Amino acid sequence: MPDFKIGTREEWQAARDELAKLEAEHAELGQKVTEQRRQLPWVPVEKEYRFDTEDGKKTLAELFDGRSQLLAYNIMFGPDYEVGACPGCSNLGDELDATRVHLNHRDVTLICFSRAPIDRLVAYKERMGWQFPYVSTYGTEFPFDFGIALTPEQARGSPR
Amino acid sequence: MIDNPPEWLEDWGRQVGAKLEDGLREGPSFIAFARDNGTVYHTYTVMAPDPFVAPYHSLLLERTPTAQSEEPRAWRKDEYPD
Repeated sequence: MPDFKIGTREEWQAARDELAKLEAEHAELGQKVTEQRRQLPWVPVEKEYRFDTEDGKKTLAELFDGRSQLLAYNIMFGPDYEVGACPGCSNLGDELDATRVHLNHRDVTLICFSRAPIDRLVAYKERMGWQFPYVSTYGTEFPFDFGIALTPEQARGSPR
Repeated sequence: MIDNPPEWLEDWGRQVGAKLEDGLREGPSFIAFARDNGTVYHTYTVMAPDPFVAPYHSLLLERTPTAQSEEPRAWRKDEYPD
């Protein structure tokens, strides 16, 4: 156990009330951040990407699956990973499936991307028991164009 | 970081089966797009270590009495050592 202090119910309530002020400030700042995030400009995607999916090649527009918003989680699973995806990313992947039905009913399609080839993604998805659409960016410029993977040249220039 | 990795990062490299110089080229991130009138727009990207790109159980763990280890170690759900 870490260091902790024992107090009375009254002491707890006073400290809780004090913390509530900070939590309220935090929530207010969070709201401002959300508003500013929504004001970011939308940048047209000019390039036509063709991704390997479990259902064959698809364009970025097709990944929306008929909805108007696409949210994608990019899992660290590069073509050089001989064992499987990053364990921490896999934890998050585990937790995404339960949210999909609720997002889908709110006009949002949720998918995952990784850069390993599609057959490796499919095998790993089966091992993890995942249901979300898993899309490979392998062989596309997409992850480099959007800065979600580094080219070998960029990696060499990155801080070590 | 790659030339002199901490032990947890070396372990991570073994967990994924890649050299760190290759493994760390991938950016754990969320990326959002909108579709309107036949045009696709990029709207948002956020990359780890932003706390948004963390497993959701870490959100629940923030409200438990004991802080977790500072080391970002993780295990796949079928590989927990205990």
